[in-house]
Amino acid sequence: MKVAVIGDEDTAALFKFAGAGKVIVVDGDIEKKFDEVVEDSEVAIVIITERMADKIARKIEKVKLQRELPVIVEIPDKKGKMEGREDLVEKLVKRAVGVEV
Amino acid sequence: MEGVKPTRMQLLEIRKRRLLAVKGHELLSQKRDALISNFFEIIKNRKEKREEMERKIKEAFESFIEAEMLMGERQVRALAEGIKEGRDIKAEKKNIMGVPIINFSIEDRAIASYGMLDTTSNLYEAINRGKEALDAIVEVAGIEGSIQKLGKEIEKTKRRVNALEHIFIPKLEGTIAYIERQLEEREREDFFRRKRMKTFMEQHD
Repeated sequence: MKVAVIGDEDTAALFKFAGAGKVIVVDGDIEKKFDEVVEDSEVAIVIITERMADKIARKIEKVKLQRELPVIVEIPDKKGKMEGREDLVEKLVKRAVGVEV
Repeated sequence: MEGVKPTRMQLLEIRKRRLLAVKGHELLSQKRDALISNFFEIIKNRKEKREEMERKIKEAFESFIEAEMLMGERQVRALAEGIKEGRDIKAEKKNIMGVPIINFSIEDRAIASYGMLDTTSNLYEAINRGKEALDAIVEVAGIEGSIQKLGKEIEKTKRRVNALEHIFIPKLEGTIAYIERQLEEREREDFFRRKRMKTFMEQHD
């Protein structure tokens, strides 16, 4: 199986060098590209930049709740970690245990 | 209480079922607690690993942007596009004492060799850092994937515990009380009938 990356050009290039099997530079419809990657049974992990993830947050949350694979990991891009964004994994935890961690 | 025959046999049967349900409830509650304590453990671990991952990504981008500046963005991106194969990754699903875990392992292989790049050491260093960053991301992916699975398992277990506690067991207890009332009633009736029979017999002696 392989790792897929969805992000800007620099993120895509860096992780292509690092060994990601599939990199996608998105300039238009993120959701469409994201769907394609998620449906690819060869993809085990989808890495997506926080900036792009924020544009399809609901979609990502749905995939996280419904599917075991691929696992979606949100990462900071070259501009650094974005502050004050909602952490979807923490949201999931809250849902399961009913408390904030 | 439809479909319930108020007999002693039935009472014993339902008492047995209640005992089983109580036992099941106890076991499931224990499982739920064990899953939750495991959950907190893995969440703590995630926090640490994510911080490490973020640091490694930052370092990788720093040297990558530097290499791009030195070599030209276009050339670096063209080189990246020339790479055909990625590193292979394996997903392994395990169940440790009822706790679902997912683990990824990524092939440890250099994608671009120094010779192939035929270029400055800046890019080479950036690539190595990128590789380390990717390794860290893969580890985080395993942790976050496990958290998702564990979260679902906890929700499922909680639902079952609640169903036993608030629906199933009270219903059985209600049935038991009903049968016990019916049996007592019948016993009282029998008692009076026998008593009346006795007086009747005595009068006609």
